[in-house]
Amino acid sequence: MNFPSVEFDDAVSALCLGTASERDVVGLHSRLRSDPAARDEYLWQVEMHARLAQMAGGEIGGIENVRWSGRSSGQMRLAVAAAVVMIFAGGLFWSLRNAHDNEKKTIAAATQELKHGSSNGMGFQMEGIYRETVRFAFASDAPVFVGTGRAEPIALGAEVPYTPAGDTLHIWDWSKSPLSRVMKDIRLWPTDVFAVSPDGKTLVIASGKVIDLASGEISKIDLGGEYYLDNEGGQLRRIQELQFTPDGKHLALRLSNIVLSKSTHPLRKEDFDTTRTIQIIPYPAGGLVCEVPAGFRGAFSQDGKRMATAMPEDKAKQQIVERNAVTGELMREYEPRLNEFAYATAYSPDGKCLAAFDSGGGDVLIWDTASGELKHRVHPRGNHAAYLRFSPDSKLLAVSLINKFSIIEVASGTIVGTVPQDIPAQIYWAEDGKSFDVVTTMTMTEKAGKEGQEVFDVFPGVKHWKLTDVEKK
Amino acid sequence: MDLNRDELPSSDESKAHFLRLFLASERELFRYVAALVPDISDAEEIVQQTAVELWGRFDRFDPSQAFTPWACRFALNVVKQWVSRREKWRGLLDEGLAEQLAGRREELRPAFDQRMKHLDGCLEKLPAEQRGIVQAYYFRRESVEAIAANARRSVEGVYKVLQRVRAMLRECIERAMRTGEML
Repeated sequence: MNFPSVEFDDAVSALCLGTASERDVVGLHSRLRSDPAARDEYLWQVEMHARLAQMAGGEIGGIENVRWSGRSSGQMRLAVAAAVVMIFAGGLFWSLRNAHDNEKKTIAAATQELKHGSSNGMGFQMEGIYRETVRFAFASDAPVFVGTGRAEPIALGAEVPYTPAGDTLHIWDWSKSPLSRVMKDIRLWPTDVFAVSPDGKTLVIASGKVIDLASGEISKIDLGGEYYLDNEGGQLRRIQELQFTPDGKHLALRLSNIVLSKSTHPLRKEDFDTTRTIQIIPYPAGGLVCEVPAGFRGAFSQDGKRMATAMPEDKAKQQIVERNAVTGELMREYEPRLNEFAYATAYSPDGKCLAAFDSGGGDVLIWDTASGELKHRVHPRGNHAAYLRFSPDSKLLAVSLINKFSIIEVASGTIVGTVPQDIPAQIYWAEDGKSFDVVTTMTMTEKAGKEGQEVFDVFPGVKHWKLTDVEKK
Repeated sequence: MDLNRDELPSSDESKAHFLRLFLASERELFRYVAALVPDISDAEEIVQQTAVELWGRFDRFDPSQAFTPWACRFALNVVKQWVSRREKWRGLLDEGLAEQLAGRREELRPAFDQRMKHLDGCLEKLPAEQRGIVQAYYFRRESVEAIAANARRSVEGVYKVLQRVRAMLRECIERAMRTGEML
């Protein structure tokens, strides 16, 4: 293999992309052994490749800000961090380690999917954010969120040196205190899946445990089981995500369902696969209202009777699909399709509008739910995690992106104000619609410390804005 | 078996210390491994195995020394074990090529770090379609086949785009280094 040559570049690329033939690998290694200039060129190319891979989940144009942020943090890092955590938990990682290579990837992929359904950004959930050592869930209509932490109260926006001992329930009500209230006797683990009721009074965990956040009283709801399997051999998680409907009367369970089919392999009886669905469960009674195919992200109308998700779940060019949340019946497929993925969706409180953020191009699309007509395509421009929230009177739509926060006037489809912000944030409008709070969703950062770069858990911070201040800017 | 998680003991200080050090080193460790075995999933697997090895020997770690070089030495051994099980990769072990690459990368690392500060800005300058393919492949980890289907390109075409994009990024970075722009 000559150097420099197209053949050399092609071989390096094939090595990076996992398509290298034996000829590529052998030829390249031979050249690298004999040619220092080829070694430097090779190292340059693979360094670029590795750094791009480490941006997984990041946004072009905001990479430094999002590299470690919440639910969109890099899959690679999540996978490795998960493995490290599993070293201590035992079990799965060891089984992966000893498995045959091909099987290993299959098992890893399936398990990753079952364990971390939302970590790849494919989740239905809109309110829970986490990484392996910290997790939060937000009440949709109260200034309350819950999370995991150690035994001491934690301030809003605090950056706490990472330790793996954060397994205690913390409750923040930022209208009352900047410090968390700690329920020392209640364990809440970062790997738990949980949701807070819209009024911020109740926490539901996928295990079926229901916790009164005022008294600590615990009751149960039958959600059908958090796991298919939970033992020393690992976990197969059934409930990936939980979400309350805005009226607080139902829970949406995003599920991974096991599908076993007859195997064509002579030594294996069955093959394993998964499907994803959403079950709507009456709260607190339990039971089943309906079950529908899972989509990407999702939102419920204020009365909890309609739900919108993006389909297909795992492919670009998604379409917003609206279903009756009581019967599961398909009501409408909104046109046009998105360029890529619906990173956020939201209904207006009056139910007349539905908005979606398209990662491909960064447009916000606003439809009339009565006619299905696209009313506006607005261009705040961004291509990463986003939050959308209509004002209580449905006249304004707040869009929280990396680097900025914009307000759109729904009637005209124009951006009436933009302010800078570091990372996307949950949006809480005041009842009169004249101000709002934004609650940051970053969960991890790195800083220089005594032992080099150290990892810190970052807890949500709250910033208050008056609408007039945003409009001025 | 239904685990009662409330009864699990808390992790001790040693584990916390290890995790802190490992998480801080993990990105550099991945790049170190990827210089030898560039395929992302293979490199991730090797880093995972390295984590296990490191934890098993953490009691021998001298806290007065830097953690990352110690971790990289283990990673090199794990890479060698990985390579030894794959016939076509064995050339990486001939004449100390793995050590040569690792050593040279260490020499080049300050230059890499300096240049890669421009990567973000250069990604922004990519044409939209190419940026989309980079995001799909590297950020969302979509398969090349899925990207090709969505982009209405051939699979081979997507591979070529990814290769070309890295070359374009490199040119952009070199240009930025020369002009000092974007920093």
